[in-house]
Amino acid sequence: MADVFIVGVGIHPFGRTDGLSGLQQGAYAARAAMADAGVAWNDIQFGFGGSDASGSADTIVNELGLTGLPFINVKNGCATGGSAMIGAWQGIASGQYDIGIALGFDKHPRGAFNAMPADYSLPDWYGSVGLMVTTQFFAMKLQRYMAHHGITSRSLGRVSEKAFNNAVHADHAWRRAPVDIDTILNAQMINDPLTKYMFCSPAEGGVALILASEKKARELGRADVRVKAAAIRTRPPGSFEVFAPGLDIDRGGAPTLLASAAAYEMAGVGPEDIDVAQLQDTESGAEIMHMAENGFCADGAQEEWLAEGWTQIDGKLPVNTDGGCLACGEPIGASGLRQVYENVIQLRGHGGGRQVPGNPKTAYTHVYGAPGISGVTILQR
Amino acid sequence: MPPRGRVWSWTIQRFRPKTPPYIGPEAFEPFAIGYVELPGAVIVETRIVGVDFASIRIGMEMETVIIPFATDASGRTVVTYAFAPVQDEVQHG
Repeated sequence: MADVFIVGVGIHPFGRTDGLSGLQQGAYAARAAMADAGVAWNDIQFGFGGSDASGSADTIVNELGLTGLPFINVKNGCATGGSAMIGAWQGIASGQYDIGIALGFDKHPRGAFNAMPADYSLPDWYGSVGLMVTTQFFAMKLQRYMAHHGITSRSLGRVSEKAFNNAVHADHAWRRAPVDIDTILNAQMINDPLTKYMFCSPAEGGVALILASEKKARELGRADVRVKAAAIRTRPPGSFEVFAPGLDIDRGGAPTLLASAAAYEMAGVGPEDIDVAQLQDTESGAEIMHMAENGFCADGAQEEWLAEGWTQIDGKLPVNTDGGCLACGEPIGASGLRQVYENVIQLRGHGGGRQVPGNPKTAYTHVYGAPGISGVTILQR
Repeated sequence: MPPRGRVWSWTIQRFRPKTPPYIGPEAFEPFAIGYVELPGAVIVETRIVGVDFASIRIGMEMETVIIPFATDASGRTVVTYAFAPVQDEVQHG
């Protein structure tokens, strides 16, 4: 497979934007990405894109122009953005195309997601009785992890505190004011052990990436950020996932372990080579568990990592440098591409107040979501 | 299915789940939920009742009970399974 480069990135700020549909926020991001790459919509040979709750991405042609390009809709839960990127990457790596777009956007109502049992092949009683709530799963996975690996509530608070501190410097973030750790720890409990500052909120936003072949990237003067790996995996037997009325007694792996291993192998690098990482932080404990699931530390070592500040901007492995989902919110279709956007900004050295020092060279993204899917990308400068 | 097992994990539902699909009372009271491991069978998700929230621990021994949790449109009581701490004096008394 030929090398593929990310030659343009664009984002519509995350949060709440009254008066703009999800699709329009996607179009805004697409225009920004094309301007960044120095190309026009006419130049884009194909696209992959999707949203979870804001309709079909191929209607983007109404906003950007009826050029007749092939555009494939992606609907893959929390991995929608990552799947769109894989589609675009493969289209170029195979030699079929020279330049294409990966697009993700969304606009969700306020409050927790209200999933319906039938959409997940579950019986109605499961929702009726009050068990079909995503936040419960995250709380229970975390509760068990904390008990087994000695993770304290203070570490949960440290993750949230870092997220809001980083977001102060990210124009696209939603919650950009620092929140001190005592406020985080003493806030309203949502699902024990998680308080309201430890959960991300459904939100709105759009992200677009322009991907190109090496030849095209050189023409554009943008052959700097290379896609080294992009992998998606579904769940293995015995994993613990959202919306599981029952679990096997025999416990097994996790989709993140599979996606992570596949991406490291594809890129020919290991966790020790990663300079900056964006990890799924649906809640602060998810970031902690995902540090281990992605191979960056042993289970339980996160206590020391967080106490020492090793995941802060100037730490040995900065994590969620734009504040992650905790500070940006979660527009499902856009979140995975936001992580890639942030890594491109970091690799270019354009992070401003949140720039990781020391010219980061290799950058990692990770998404996780229902019903047990994970996506990982590795970029290299 | 074994009627007894141990708490595998737990949390407290502190906000009213959205309706639909939730059919519990409009006036919301937080409730405990968890997973209970039934030895050799399955780890089942469930409501947990009959225990102070602060006393719930992983490994705590539980047994199945049937509880009312909602009233349907015709005014009939809707019941569900749940787990409650084992009452030794009742079981062995």
